[in-house]
Amino acid sequence: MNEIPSDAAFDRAYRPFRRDHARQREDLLQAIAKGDRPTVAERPRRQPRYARAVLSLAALLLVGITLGVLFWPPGAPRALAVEEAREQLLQVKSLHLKGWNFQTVERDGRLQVERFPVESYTERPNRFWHNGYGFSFKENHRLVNVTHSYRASDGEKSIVVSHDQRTAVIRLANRLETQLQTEQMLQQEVFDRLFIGLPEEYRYTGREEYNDVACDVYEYKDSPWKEGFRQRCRIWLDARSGMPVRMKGWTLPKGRPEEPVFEYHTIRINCPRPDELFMFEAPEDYNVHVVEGEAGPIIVPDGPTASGGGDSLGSWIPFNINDRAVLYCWFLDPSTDAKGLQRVPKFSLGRPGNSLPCRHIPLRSDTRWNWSLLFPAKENGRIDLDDQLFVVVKSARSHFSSSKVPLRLPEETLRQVIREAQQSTIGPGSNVEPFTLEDLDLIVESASADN
Amino acid sequence: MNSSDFERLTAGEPGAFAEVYDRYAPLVRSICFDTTRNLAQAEDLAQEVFLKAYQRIGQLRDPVRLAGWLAAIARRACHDWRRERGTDRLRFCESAPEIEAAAPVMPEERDIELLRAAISELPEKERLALHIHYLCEQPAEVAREILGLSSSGFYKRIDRARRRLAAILKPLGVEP
Repeated sequence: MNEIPSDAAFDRAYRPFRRDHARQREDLLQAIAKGDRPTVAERPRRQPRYARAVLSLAALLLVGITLGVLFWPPGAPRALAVEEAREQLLQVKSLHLKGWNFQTVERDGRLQVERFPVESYTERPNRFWHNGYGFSFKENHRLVNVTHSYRASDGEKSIVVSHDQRTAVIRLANRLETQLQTEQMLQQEVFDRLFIGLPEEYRYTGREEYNDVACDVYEYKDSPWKEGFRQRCRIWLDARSGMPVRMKGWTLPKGRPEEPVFEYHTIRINCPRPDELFMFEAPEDYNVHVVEGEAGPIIVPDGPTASGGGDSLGSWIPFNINDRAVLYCWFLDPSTDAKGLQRVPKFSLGRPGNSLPCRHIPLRSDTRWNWSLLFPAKENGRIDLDDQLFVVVKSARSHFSSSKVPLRLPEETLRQVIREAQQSTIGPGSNVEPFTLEDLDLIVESASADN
Repeated sequence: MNSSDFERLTAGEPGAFAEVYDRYAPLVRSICFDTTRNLAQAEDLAQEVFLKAYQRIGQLRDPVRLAGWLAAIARRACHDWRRERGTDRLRFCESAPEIEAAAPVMPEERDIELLRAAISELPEKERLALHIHYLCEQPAEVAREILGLSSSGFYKRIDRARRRLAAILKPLGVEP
């Protein structure tokens, strides 16, 4: 029995994609005839004084391309795979990372690389465990102190354990807050850890076996002419599923051999939960402190989240509304300028280094906090996977910024977040009517139509 | 495509663009079908893809990249289509992305439709390889550009895709 579909079956399966072609072709040509002529990209005229630099750059590129053609494997898959991996990672149920944090330290007058185990487990809707280190150096590489801690929550309780202080703090967890933390980890922090640079900047380097899995390996490297801190990373994607199974990063210090910085040797997606991480048992001889009441909210921070030169910015997690707008709550101190006018930070949306100023619709001001809807200025009016919200505060005495990924949330969670968050800004006893998700949808729809 | 054809194309000459349409429209429709799972919607989406491509045709610098460029526009359009039609703001899957078993291949039209649905469940690289193989005139060249595959790599992938389809169909115990 031959179970492989025959060519005849494939031909029939693909036949509909050719059907009615002539009519569709005619429709398209008519649409083209009615519409605008295509935009023909003009080559910008360059100032003569730049000509030499441009020629040098072109020569460098030519050398690069030639070397690429000579040494990169032929028939390599495109970096589309990295973008797909990112898109799929956004939808996982759980993610378990294990690896190493590498530090280059000086021991007995010699530089050597030491490694520290790192681990994180994140599970939707509201469960996470992750550890972290703090390193104090003197004279560049003399390691004088290391702190090590972990945080975990199962949506019911949360624990923070400090190994260096030998303390454990246990408290009740707020489910919604824990869900937001979980989403923030999966939608921002994991991306930051696993991917450096943009998907299209990755190059395919070949196929390798890793833990008996055939992997397509991609590499990102900062441009050689990038100033200061430069990085390189490699990611191993399972050739069958396209999902990452390993990642390793290096720094490229000037004048020294590159140094490893981190490695995730185990990347498991939608795996069984490692229950041992959630036992919440502080090691013996640790000082355990059980706090009454729930953990402090993260939707509404107590104070400023960024400051400088006497200016303070308070900012919440931004929320993605239908991929068309960002709901953002913020305050600036001082709130008015010398003329008594309200100060508003500069908002922009986009990729790092390539963001555009937003259209800003103020929604409401509650005492200190301001609610805003921010719309991307891109042609398609959409917020893409890589887009972040950049908030810049600039005055005569200060200049600082903050960037965050607008969280995408399931509808019911978003509705609950909007309701609870406004309870914090409106305050008790107020007659102000809170807006709902449906109100926001209407504003977004009408604003998008106006655009 | 020779240089004068390419110049006509990038200058926005409709006749030159129509030739591109003839060559790649079936492929773009099949890519769109993988997202829409509905032929009429796939045809509409493919028309949008070509309109966008026509608007941006002047940005194309290399005739060799034409197929890959069109496929990238199609992928982006599919991405936008999914987002526009998502009833939830975000759908989180409960399990790892995997190939689901599809229905068997039979000579009847219903089963051909099921084969089409099964193809749509293949990993993207294998799916694209099959689309190219069955819908493009010079499949190996198009595959080199879109998938970055050598000729032998392309046919190996076709073979793998067929075997995977067979594996999907086998448990269903249907004679082809």
